[in-house]
Amino acid sequence: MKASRTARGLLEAACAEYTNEILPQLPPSQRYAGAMLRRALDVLLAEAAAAEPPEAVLEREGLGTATELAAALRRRDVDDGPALRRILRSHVERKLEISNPRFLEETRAAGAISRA
Amino acid sequence: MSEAATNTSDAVAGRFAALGPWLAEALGAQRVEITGMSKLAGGAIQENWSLDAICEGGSRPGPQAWVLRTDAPSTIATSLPRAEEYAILKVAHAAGVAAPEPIALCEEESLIGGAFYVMARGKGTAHARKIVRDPALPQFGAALAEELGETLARLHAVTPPVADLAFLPVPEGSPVLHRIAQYRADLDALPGGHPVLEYALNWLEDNAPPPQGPVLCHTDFRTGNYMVDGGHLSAVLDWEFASWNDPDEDIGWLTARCWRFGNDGCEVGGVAGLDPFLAGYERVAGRKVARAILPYWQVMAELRWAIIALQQGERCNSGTEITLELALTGVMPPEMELNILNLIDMIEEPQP
Repeated sequence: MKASRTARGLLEAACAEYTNEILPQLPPSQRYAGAMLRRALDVLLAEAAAAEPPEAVLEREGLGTATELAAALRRRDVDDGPALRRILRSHVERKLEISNPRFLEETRAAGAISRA
Repeated sequence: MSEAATNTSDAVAGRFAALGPWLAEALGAQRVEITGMSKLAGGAIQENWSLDAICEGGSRPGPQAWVLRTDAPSTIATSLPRAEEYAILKVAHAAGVAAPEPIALCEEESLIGGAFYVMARGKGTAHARKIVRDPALPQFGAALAEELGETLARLHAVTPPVADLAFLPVPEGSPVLHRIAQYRADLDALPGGHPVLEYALNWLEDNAPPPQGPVLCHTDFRTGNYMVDGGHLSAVLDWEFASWNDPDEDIGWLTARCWRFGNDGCEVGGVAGLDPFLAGYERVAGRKVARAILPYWQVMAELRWAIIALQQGERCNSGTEITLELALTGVMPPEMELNILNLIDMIEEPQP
């Protein structure tokens, strides 16, 4: 999962250059596209920096890959009680740390998460 | 629809050159002069064009403010063809729903490069974030929610069979179980595995409520798909996913967190709480909505949006239509997955 130091450095430099030098110069008609590009870079940066892929959470719990667990759930071949929900929550949180950490923080702040 | 940017390019003029004469014939006018056309923002699946025209004679003489709606370069399988969407619009409008007045349908694809229809242009904005962040929302949100409830109840009063909607399949048996089967098939068509969505499908199957309906559902009734003018509902848009379904599915979709645009405290699409919406709905519908069942339908809504987002992302990832907007939509499902887990936890493990 973790990208090489060179790749991460390149991504970080590209993101900084884009955010500090290019994004503020964009005309209003291109700001939406510019913000989308910034968001895409954020996702790439977070993925490159992640220590392991999100589905490692599932594999550590002996549930296999996401594809394998999905198939087992379809077959109803897995205990689907609260313990599984807690593991699934950890898996989703790892995904959100990459795709939208702000959403995760806001949800936690709202108290709508993790009563376990 | 003031967001439109006027586009006067030769390509646009050429594409729509035959539109005026066609409209004149369709409306029985001596002449229809197109005085302005501009592509409206948004529309990943459909293209919407703001259309200003002047009719000479016919059934509606004088200046006209219309919208022309046709297919975008790529569509998705569950989106209805324009002719069917137009038929639904006619039924909804006749039922007293705040739907734009349907004006004319053209199924001849050669005229502008695809089938299209023309409808009245609603006033105000459909921009979801503008609506939920309007500083005046505390003053108009409750009344708007009540109007949303009233108009949705009028739509739900339409029940099968309706001859003009014979193309819409009536689900056999439980609409809920039909939905669940459809979503499993949708997941089968996507790459990778999605354990939270599979978990949610099992949970929805195990906790399915007694069947209701089917009634005519908009099936995409949410903030962003209706127009607000001066704090009031002016038009319900985007009828391409309409279906015979359980009426509570529309309510779950409107109230799910994924469609509150960050205004989480306002359960009804980020504009108001449930009370005014249900007051309007129940007064017109003449039935009580079981509040306790709404979280179930919110799980269904989050699941559905997650699957649609995956499908949108796949349109990009497969190379069919490479756009940043589609790619970013494709990374959204974990947000819906977290909402699903929170809702199921709330239902299964209620706090004292």
